[in-house]
Amino acid sequence: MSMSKIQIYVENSFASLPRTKEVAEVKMNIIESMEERYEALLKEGKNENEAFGAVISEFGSMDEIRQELGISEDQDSPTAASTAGSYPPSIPEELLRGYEAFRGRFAIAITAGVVCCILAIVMQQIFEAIFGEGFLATTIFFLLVAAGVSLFVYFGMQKSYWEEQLQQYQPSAPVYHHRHASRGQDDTLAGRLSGAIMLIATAVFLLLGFLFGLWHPGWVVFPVGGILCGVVSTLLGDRA
Amino acid sequence: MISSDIMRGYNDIMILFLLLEHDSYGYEISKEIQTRTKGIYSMKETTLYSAINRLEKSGYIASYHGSESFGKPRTYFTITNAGRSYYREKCGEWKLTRQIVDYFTSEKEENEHEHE
Repeated sequence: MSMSKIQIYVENSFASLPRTKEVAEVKMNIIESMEERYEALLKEGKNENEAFGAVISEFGSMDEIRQELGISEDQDSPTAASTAGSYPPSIPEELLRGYEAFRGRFAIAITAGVVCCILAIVMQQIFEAIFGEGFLATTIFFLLVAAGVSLFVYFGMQKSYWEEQLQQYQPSAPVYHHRHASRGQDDTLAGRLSGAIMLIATAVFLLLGFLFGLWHPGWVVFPVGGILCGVVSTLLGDRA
Repeated sequence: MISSDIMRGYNDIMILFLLLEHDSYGYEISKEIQTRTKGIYSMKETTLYSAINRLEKSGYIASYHGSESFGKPRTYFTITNAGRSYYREKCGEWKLTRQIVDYFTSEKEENEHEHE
């Protein structure tokens, strides 16, 4: 059975409290009573939102529970100070702001990575046209691909770091936790997949070139790879 | 609206009073309190369960699992003998408190104050 809105609300409010039998019991009783009040309100003809609002407004304050159960905030996990009596137990503001800023940079970096890969082909073609096939064209091509791949890898790693930081602050907040976690996984996945796609493209290109001398039609793997990267990151929700 | 600080000491009395009538469960207790005070006072969930937890720890009430007719599990509370004597003690305390405060809040005093 999935958790009800009320259950999630109460679980979130209790998230920073130690998980003792006593705390669990109080929590369970409160959920039980709130659910019952909620159903009674629905029977009275209130709609779900009104009923939920009314039930929540009768919840009270977590400080009271803390005091009653003799839980001082100092003994608690570092989370407690920031979540005391507030709902939902929140990530510290600076961290959240930092993360939002990072998400913006991340999107730009991935886009830049894709642009680098596409640019690699374009520049190679231009250099070939001007200086002829040779060292210069190949060098500019590899430099740009390397830059793109580095961007994917570096920002993918940064992303994981931020996700870890966030999860640390949301130990048992099911809804929020899930949302962040899955979003995070998807984003890193987008970064990783993009990296992998471009690596494979490079490998295919080199094999075609060195083994079969097919440098010329072989370069198509890059625009194709670049487009795939774009598709992957769009599909996996890499939008700021 | 009445401040919860003032009511804190008397939440116990209300809960015990209701349990003296019959065993009850959380939602019913809070509903009864609201009804009997004609909606002037309603106990927040955290207040109610803090009090219940304290009363249970002190041995004034005990809990058991019962079920509603639709089979939903429910925790019932019942008053113990220690709870009965604690209730009488609290009632005595309240009478004394009220008597003292009454000396300073009589109608006459209030009116005189207003006419100053």
